[in-house]
Amino acid sequence: MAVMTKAEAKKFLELDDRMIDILNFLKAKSILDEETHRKILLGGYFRLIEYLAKKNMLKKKQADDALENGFDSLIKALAS
Amino acid sequence: MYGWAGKRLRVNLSTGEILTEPLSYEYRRKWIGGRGFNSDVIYNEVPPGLDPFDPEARVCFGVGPVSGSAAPSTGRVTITCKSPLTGGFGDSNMGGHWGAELKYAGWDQIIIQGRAKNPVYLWIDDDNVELRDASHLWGKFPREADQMIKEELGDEDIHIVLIGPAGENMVRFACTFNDVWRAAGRTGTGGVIGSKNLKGIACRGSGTVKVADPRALLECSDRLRQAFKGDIMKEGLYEHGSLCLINVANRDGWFPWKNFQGGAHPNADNMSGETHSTTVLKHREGCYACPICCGRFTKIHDGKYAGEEFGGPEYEHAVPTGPRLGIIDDANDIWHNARLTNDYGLDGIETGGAIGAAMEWYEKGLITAKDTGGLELTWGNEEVVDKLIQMIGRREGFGDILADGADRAADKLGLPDEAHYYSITTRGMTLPGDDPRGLGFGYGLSFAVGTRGGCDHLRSLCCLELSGALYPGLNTKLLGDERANRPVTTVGKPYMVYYEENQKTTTDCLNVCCFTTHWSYAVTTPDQIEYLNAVTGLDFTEEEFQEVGERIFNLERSYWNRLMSGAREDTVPERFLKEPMPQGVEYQTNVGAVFPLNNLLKKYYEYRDWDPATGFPSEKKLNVLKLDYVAKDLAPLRSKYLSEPEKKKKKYYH
Ligand code: SF4
Repeated sequence: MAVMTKAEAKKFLELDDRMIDILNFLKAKSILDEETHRKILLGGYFRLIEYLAKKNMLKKKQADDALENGFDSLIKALAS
Repeated sequence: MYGWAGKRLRVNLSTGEILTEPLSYEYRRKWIGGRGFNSDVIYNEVPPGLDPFDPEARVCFGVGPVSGSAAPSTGRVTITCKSPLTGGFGDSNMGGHWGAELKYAGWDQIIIQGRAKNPVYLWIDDDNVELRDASHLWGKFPREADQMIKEELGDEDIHIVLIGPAGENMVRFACTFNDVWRAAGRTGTGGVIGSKNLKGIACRGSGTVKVADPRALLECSDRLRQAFKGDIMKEGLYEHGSLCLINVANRDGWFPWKNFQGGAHPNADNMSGETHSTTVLKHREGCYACPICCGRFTKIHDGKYAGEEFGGPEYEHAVPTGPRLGIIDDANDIWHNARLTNDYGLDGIETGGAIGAAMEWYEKGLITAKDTGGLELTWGNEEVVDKLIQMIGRREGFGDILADGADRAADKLGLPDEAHYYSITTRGMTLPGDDPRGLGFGYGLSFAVGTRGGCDHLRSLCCLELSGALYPGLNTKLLGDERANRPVTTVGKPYMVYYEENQKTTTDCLNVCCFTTHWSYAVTTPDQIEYLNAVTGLDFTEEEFQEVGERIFNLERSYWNRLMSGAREDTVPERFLKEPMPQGVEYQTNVGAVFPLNNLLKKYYEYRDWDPATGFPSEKKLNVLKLDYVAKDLAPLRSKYLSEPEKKKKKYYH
């Protein structure tokens, strides 16, 4: 099931700086807790992908794409 | 105990008392070392209102748990004080070998306080620590004093920290050296050391670093050294030192021409690393255990400065007293000026900043030759620059005024507010040779919020935008957006600065060179934790390690907040916000750029969890970082910062 709507995805894609907004969004959806939010922010984007893949929020191919193409791919995956 | 020596030295120069203090397990775990130890001492022992030159002020020298080990480039040392230039938090670190030697002598940190009656130097020979007369060394250049101390102590292999005449004369931007040429350039640590009548610290250590798991350390270190083979930044730094950046800076328009009036010049190649290597490079030198070896040694062969020799210069050392002052045609002038700032013990960046500001005041008619004692401060006037550097170092005439930094000089001269526009400072400190309109919006943001003032490139070291394009995929992996590697874009920059500041802070706690970590990320945070744990035998996790970085950064920020420096002061010189970058060369990539700071700050505060109105860290953030005592200190100051009397933006403190 999609984590975000197409309209939400569009909004995120338009942002210049996305990390904290995406993390806040995932926290609001209870996909991340406060501690994980902090940990990922400190660790970097790839830690977010690792976490989402571990939680089965991303399939292997989606995670690989997100690692290769960054937020553009991740946001699309979360909206699909 | 592994890694750390487990103790620090406290020297009171007023009483001559020399104390050994143990560093507890909890303390070491909370602050790790180097920058962390020092920042904690400055926050707790140097009240915000204290004059940095007061005998009660402290100056600290700190190394980390892996210092002196086989891990790459672990010879650095951090020096921290209340900066006499800015009046705020100040630190600077330097390479060389002294940091490793201090560890071999069995010390993690030195705290100096008080003021000696007569000039002295400290001699640390393992556990034997004594103060020795330095009257005969006073007034000597570091290269002279270094030799004299070695002869006196009968050991050519000792390593010595020294200040030059500028430090003795309490120039507010005097720097500190070790191994003669390796400088802790910024924030005026040399002036504080000089104010204590301390010429230097000679060190000999016969011990070693106790390593918990030597095999794991060697395997990790060996793997990391291999990672540098063929690395493009390593090659550039080895071949041409940090001067390898000159032609890049010129192409991308961040080469500071005439006090940042421009960002490129057709003759920049005169002083490029490539030109330096084929004309005046005598040999290369590396710091302790360094796989890169970026250090230069220069010998001038012709012209009026023929025969001069010195260690350096770095990009940031050559640019401020060269092109920033309109000097570009004869590179020997630039090498000579760098040699002079070394000999006098001056921060080259601030020296160029102060002279550059004065040249622009002169150009704009804000001062005349009457104010300067007859010096014609025209752009490119090498004769005057040569004189003025020495006058600053000796605090003579107009040099004495500039020795307090550009902002204080403007006030001493009674100049109108307009003069500060040309000072090119943030929080009283001039910016290094990196124009934010070219390199880049991440750097610019980091200058605005840096915890040691207008700072330099090394506070956050946004290499993800400087060299990220050379490592495809790196920005995507760390920040989630490859476009962040373009310097002149706002994309991904708030996160980049937050991320790099934390990384840089932990790197400074380990006292590892950031060239071996941030430039290429050949050594990443997990690698650092791997060798940290191999050395200490502890179990630092990535989260714990990075949290230490965040803790220290917020502690330093809070030091400024206690001085009533916050959101209002988070800015860069107005020139970068208002003046579109002019064209200097045909191939320049950033013509017309201005720096959109305000678009970035709000988001950056969100990452940091700093209150947007005050720029103070939130109470919650401080508590999470185990800085509850800091939260208590800041509590009454939050509303004070917003009150009417505090509303005028401050240029510098105390
Ligand atoms: S890269 Fe340069 S500054 Fe850093 S440790 Fe090596 S020689 Fe020293």
